[in-house]
Amino acid sequence: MDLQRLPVEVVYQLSQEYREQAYAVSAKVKNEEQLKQYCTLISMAIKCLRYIKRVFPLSIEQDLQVTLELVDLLLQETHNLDLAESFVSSLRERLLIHNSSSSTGSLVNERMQCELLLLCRIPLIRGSKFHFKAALRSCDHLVQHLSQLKDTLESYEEWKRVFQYVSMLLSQRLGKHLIVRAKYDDLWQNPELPLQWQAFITLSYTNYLLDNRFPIPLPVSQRLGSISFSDVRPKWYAWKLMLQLTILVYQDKNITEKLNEFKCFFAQSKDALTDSSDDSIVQVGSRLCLSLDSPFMLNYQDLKNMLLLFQSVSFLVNCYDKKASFSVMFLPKVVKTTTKLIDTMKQRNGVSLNEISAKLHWYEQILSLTRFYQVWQDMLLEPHSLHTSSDGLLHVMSQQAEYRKDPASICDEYQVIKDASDSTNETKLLSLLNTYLIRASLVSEGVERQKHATLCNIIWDQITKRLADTDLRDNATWDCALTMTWIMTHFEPFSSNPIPATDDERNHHIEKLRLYYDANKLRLSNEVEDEPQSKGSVDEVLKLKKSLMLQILLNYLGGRMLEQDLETICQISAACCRLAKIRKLPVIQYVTGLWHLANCTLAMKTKEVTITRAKLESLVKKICIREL
Amino acid sequence: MSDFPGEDKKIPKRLIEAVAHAPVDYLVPKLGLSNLLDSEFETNVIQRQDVFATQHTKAYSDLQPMSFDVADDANQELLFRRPRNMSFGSTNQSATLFDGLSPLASRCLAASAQVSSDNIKESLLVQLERPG
Repeated sequence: MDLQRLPVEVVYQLSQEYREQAYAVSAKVKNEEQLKQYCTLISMAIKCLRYIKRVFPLSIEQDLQVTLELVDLLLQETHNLDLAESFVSSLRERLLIHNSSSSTGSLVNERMQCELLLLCRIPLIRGSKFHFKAALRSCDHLVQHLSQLKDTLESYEEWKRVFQYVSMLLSQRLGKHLIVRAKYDDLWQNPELPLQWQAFITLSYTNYLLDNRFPIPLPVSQRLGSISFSDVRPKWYAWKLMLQLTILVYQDKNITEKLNEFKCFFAQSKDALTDSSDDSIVQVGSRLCLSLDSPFMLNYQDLKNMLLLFQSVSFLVNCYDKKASFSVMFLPKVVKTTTKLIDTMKQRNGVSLNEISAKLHWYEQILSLTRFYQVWQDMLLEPHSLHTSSDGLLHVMSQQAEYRKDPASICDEYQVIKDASDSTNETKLLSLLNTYLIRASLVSEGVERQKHATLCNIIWDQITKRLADTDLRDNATWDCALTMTWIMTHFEPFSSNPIPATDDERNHHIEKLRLYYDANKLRLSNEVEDEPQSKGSVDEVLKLKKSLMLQILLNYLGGRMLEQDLETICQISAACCRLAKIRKLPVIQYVTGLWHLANCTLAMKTKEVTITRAKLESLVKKICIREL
Repeated sequence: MSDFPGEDKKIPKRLIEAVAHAPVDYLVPKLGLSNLLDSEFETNVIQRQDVFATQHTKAYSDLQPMSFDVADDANQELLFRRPRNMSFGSTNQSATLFDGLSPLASRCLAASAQVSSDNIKESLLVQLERPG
């Protein structure tokens, strides 16, 4: 033990100085030596605080301050979670003893903050189910306990709300989705919640639903919609708008109006959306405020960058269209901006190195998403070229389009993706759908017909069951795609060996096809690209994005099954051929060309027959060369 | 139609056979867009109070420095988080990050143990898996 002991206020001051120095230089850490220096500074700050706790007699206020700072450093900078937890636990003990021996009972907030660390922050950092479960049990006990106390002190009621939220959060991490829903409804039972807390609960719950691709119930989307600009801070309002935009993008809906809302919002609040603005505070009750982890509350630059990414995804299927190819313009811009933002982040002062690292990780996520969508876009533009991607789904899809591999092994590879534990529901559904189409084509070709037909029925069941659990069940594009797939595989003109089905099933699918066809069919009198203009007559819900492939399939199927007039049919088949050519899919172009040839022959358009024959001849040559 | 181009060739004649060569790319997966919006919940309620008399450490520059290393620290050695997504080369440019500390802080630091690379880990698992 040192003989000459420094006074307690000096040691405390030193701890502050070491931490402030570390955070001031965090952006300068470039090599291993400097990383060691950074950690040494933090270790000095920790050592000072531990020394104070060990050596000096502290008042309860001093102990509180020192312990919370110490715990914060340990959680933020180290893996010593047990140590941090033991400090919080003993502080909580001291507060309890103090509370029972004093008459004031004024340390409620302090005790509750200890609980919050033990039941929320520390278990979330530990990240294991074991710790989530233990914390959830204790948290529910605490909520019960606070409910019984609530008559005595208003603060208890406010803290009860916080722990009800924590309980919901822990249930989310445990994947107890039904319980999460019940807990969210419970949180809403209290009509006197402050607007900020109401807004926070709904924003965070909507985010959770979207992350899991669950359908958004109507009351939730209404509550989300009712969060008004005047009730919450600008960054929260931005969060609301971004969530609403995400819902539209996930549903493949038109986002133009939402983008206009952003424009108005930026005009009003651009200056308030800075990193330094103190927007992370949420008011739980009249005397209780909590803070959100601020690095993820978005500033203006981040928001604008994300808007570009979200727009690109929304417009991705239109990338072939020169007038609407937003993704072609925007995706490279996202890469450029993100790289720039990363450089700016590396020069940020006054924050922990781990905070910088967390934000850099966030930017990495944006870059990795952007790379994924760039490859997807390339695949749309050049369907038969080889596209390399680290993403499993894209890799197999590219191989399928290349048709160098035999169908069975492509199906096997999709199976691997479908079974992978880290695949999302959406990825699994796409794998299943592609497998279904390949197997159904084998049925049509008569290759092990019975076996593949049985497999098709099994896969179809899996698709419909899986879809029902996700928000995609409300997605019109998915619904239309599945309807068309069913028609293609269950009717004679589209498959040589249709899979058997009952009349009811057939009629049901034809009726659905009719709805989508009527709402989206090509307008023939005018140019092909024109949208149907008949206002009001078409159900908006059924209107789909103008993706070329979808248009080809829908018009081909609708033209063959629902149209009677030969002249109209001829126009549709001509349009389908044109679209397939733009889409650079020779095999599809060939099939639509055969249909057009038949139509023209029937209509005795001799000139058109000659032209179409010539086109088909050259197409056959092209396909055969590619096949070799 | 008895005769049409490609009739004798092995080219798909039915829609389903042609479609099987074109993977469904008109349904675009939206992956983790909403995850970018997740906000972590943190817990800072208590405002910083002045629980200790504050005076700048420069005023104490005549005090004797001391190490804050205490014997029982060894039992609970600190293990620092190594930031992910950041690479740290062993370049020569070694601007010291200690510049600007007060004299007392510098001398205390010099008297204390420095953190070594072995104590900066990406995760605890890595350490456990390492033999020895």
